[in-house]
Amino acid sequence: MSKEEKIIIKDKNTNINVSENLNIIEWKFPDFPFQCNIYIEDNIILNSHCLIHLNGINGKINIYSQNKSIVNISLGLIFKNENNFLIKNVLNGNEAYSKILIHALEEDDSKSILKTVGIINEKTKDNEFLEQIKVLNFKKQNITCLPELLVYSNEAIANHNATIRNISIDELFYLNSKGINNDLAIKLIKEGFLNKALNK
Amino acid sequence: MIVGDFMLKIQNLSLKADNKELLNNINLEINEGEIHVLMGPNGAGKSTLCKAILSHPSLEKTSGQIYFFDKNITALKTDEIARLGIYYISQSPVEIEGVKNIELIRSALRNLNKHIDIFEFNKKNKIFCEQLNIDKDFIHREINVNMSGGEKKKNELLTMLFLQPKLIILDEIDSGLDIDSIKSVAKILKNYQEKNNCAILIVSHQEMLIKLLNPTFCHLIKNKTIIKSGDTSLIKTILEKGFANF
Repeated sequence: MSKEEKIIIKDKNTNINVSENLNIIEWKFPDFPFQCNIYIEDNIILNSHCLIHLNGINGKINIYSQNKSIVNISLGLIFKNENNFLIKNVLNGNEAYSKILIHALEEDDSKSILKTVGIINEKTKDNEFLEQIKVLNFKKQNITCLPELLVYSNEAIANHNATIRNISIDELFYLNSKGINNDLAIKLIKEGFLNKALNK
Repeated sequence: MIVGDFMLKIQNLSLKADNKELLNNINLEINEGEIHVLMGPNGAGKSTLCKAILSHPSLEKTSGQIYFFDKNITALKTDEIARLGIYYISQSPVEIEGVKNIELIRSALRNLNKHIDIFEFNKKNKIFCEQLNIDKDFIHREINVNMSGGEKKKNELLTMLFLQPKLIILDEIDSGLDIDSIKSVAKILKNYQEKNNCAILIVSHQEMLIKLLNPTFCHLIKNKTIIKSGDTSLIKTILEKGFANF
């Protein structure tokens, strides 16, 4: 069983210690620059499958994993206006497992940077880190994705990939050819893209 | 405005894409209840013509008109044309991650102003899935994602049965299908066509699907234009002699 919690960040610096299994069901961020450090203790599971609206955010979420901890994060991110958002996962212990799946898209004319960093520290072993970032842009490439993976240990499995794409003319034509107008077709594609991350 | 007893009329249609001429002076007329087969060598313009009827955004019509019943659809958008009752199945339907068939069909029905309550929808789904020999939960799968070639075509037919089109355009839907799947797809199409007196325009190289659908007319497209039209004897001649003799 996991405890369910909403994370509402109100301060410039926030430290959260996770000592029992936790499922974060909602994130709320302030409109000023912030940093949130989440420390996960040994053998603890952190889950979060959420849709997050980012509107003028400048923030960092740093997750520190210890021995045999599990991080399972799937986020659907909707960017609006200018954002600078970073998610960092540092694996400090052994036999930890981290899986981070992010599907991000823009709403209106966003100019955003999404940075993800995975770090497997030296002198650790048997850690597994998987990260998949997908960005769906419209018209212009308005979301810049900066994935980074730093592996300092020789005994780790680490995999990350990032893809950025636009809605294709073929996807739109397909939906249009079923009688669905452009606005509804784009809405369906956006929702589907986000739902895929949340496994709905 | 042209008024006649035709369903689809293409008059002197020419089009280009990226400043390259793709079709030149196409003329074609299809009436209710007719099945037309479009044949021609690779690159002749068969798929382009199918897409042109649906106003694919990459194609630019340079001259000519397309009428559907008494409406000039030449300048209409794809979704507007589809809502008039033209249904297009491509040889490789696109996959759309995260969007389920049920969302597609309900959205399409909503855009058609056909409001079906959930009980009637489920009832129809059960009937259609039985006809297609697929599980009734097929409708909850993502559009064409992780589907075999046969499943994709059945998926397209499931949507077609819900939307009840008047003209069906099939662009090499038999490609990648095994014999049993071709038979099954042909049977569903033929049943639908006979029951609804709709018309079918089919692009195919496969003798089997053509025979099973039993078309009424054949058109040979070569060098970007229709060079010959005729009845089923033309199909026989093409299948025997190939395209080089025309």
